[in-house]
Amino acid sequence: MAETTGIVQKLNVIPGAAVACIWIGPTPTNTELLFIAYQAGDPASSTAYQSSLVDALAAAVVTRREVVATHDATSARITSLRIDPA
Amino acid sequence: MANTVGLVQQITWVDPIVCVGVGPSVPLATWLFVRFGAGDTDAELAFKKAAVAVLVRAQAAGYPVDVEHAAGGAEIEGVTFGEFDISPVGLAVHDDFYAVTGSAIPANAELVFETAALSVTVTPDLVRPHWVFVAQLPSAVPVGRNLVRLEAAGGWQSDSVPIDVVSGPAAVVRVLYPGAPKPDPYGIGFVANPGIVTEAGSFTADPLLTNRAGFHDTIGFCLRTLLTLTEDCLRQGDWDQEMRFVALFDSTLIANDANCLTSELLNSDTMQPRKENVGPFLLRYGVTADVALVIHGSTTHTRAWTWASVDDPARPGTAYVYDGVPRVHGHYSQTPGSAALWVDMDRTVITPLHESFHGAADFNNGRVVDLYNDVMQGNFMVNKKARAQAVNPIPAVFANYNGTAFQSDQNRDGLGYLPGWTSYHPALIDATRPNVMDNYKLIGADSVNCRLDGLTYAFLSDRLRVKLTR
Repeated sequence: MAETTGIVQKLNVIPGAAVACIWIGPTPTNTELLFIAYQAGDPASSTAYQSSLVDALAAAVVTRREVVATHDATSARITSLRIDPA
Repeated sequence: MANTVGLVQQITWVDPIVCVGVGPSVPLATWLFVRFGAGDTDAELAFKKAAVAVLVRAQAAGYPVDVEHAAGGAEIEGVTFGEFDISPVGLAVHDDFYAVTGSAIPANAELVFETAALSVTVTPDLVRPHWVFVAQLPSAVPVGRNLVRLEAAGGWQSDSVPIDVVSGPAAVVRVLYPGAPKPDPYGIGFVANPGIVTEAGSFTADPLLTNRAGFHDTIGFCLRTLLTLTEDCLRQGDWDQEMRFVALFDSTLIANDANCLTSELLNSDTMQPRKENVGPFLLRYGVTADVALVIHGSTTHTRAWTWASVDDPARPGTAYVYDGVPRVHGHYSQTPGSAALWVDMDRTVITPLHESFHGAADFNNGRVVDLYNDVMQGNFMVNKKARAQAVNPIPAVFANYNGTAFQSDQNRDGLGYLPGWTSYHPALIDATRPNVMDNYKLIGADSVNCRLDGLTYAFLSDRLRVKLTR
C-alpha cells in the first residue's frame, strides 16, 4: 500500500459513473489525481463507505486540512483515508 | 454538456429531488437538480448523496462550484469544487503559523485578508515561488470569515479563497508546507525542545516551552536562511517545492528521558541534540523528517551542534564513487540529522544553513564537517583532508567524485590555513568569502552571500536528489 499526503485541492463527483476524482498536493498545480469508485459487486455498505469518504474529503477541501489517502502502490483508487489532528 | 459556475446560493430538498441555485445571487441563480430515482443503483444513490453533500459544503464555505449538466437540461451530472490558483495550508489561527501555496508567486507578494468591513495586509516572513509563509498570523486579522488572497506590486493578484479565522489555540503539529504528494517526501522538521539533560545529568524543562513566539520567530529565520540566501543548494531548481516542512510545539510535556531532545556538552557552551531521541519523539506525533532542527531556550549553552543523519543501509540507495571507493547515498534515514539551535541565535549570520548541511550529510558514509578547525577524527569526511605534514604542499586535486576531479582550495579563501594545520579543503564556488562550512561568522552579515565548495555542493545535491525522488 502507498500513502499520498497533502491538501485536497479539487474534488469532482460524477454520480452517474459512481466516481469521485480527488486532486491532492501541496499546491493547486502540483497534485496527484486519486479517485473513489464503485466497483461491480460492491455491497451497499461499500457504496455508503465511499460516500462517506467523499464527504470527508469535501470537508477537508474547505477546512484546508491535510489528508492521508491510502491506495495500492499501483493504483490511484483510495481505499482508506486519515485526517490527523490539526 | 454544459457547465454552470458560481456560488451555491440556495439548496432545497423536495422528495425525491434536491434543487440547487448556482450563481451570483438567488434571483440570478441557475436552478439545477439531483434526482434520487427509484431505479437508481445503490452506487448511483450513494454518489448522488455525496454530490449533494459537496454542494452543501460549498455553500457553507462560500466556495464556487462548477456544475456539469446536459445542455438545455438541469439534472446535475457532475460537481467540481475547490478550484483556486492558491491554496491556504491548514487553519488560520491567530499567532500560529500560516501558509499559502501557489505557483509563480512574485517575491514581493503580500497576504491580504478581507472582510466586508476591513482589509488587513500581512507581510510574509518567507516568499518562494510556490509558498508564502507567515511565522505568526497577526491578531489584527479579524476572527470569522475572511477572503484571503496574495497581491504584489505591479498588479499581480491571486484568487480570493474564503477562510475562517479563529483566535486559537495554536496547533501542536503544524504542516508548514506539505511537500510532494507521495509517500515519504523529503522532510525538514522544526521541534520545540521539551527538556534538557544538564551537564550534571538531570532532566530540566526547556524554557522555550514558555516562549512560543520565540519559536515561531526562529522558524521564520531558519526558513529564510535555508531558502533565500545566495547558497542555493536546498532550493536549486525549486527543489524545496517537493520538500515537506513541519513544526512541532507541545507545551504540555514534562522533562524526562524520552522528551529531552538536547543535552548540555560538558565544560562548554554547546548544546547537543540527543540524536537517538529525535526520530522516535517525532514519530509519536506522526512526523518523520530527514533533518530535524531542535530549537531550545537555554541561556548557558547557546552554541549549536549537529549530528549528521544515518542512512538506512537496509533500504535502497544510489551508488557513488569517491576517490575510487564505492559508496552509497541512502534514500532513507535510519536516524534523522539533528541540530540543536538556540532560540535567540544571532539573526545576522547563517547558522541554520551551516547546521542543516551537517545534518543532511551521512554520519557513516560521507560527513560534511566544519572547516574552521584542524580536527580530522571520525568517519569519512567529504570536504576535508589532511596532509602528512603542515609544510607539505596542498595537492592540486582535492578529490574525484563520480568521475569529476574537484580542485583543492589552496588559500582557504581569504582566511588562509593557520600555521600548523595539516587539513585542507575543496575549492570554493565563490572564493571571495568563507565556505558556508567554515568560519562564516568572521564576515558577519555578509555571510548571507557565502557559498559551499564545489565538491560539497555536488555531493549534497546528489544526496538531496536521490532522497527527493525516492
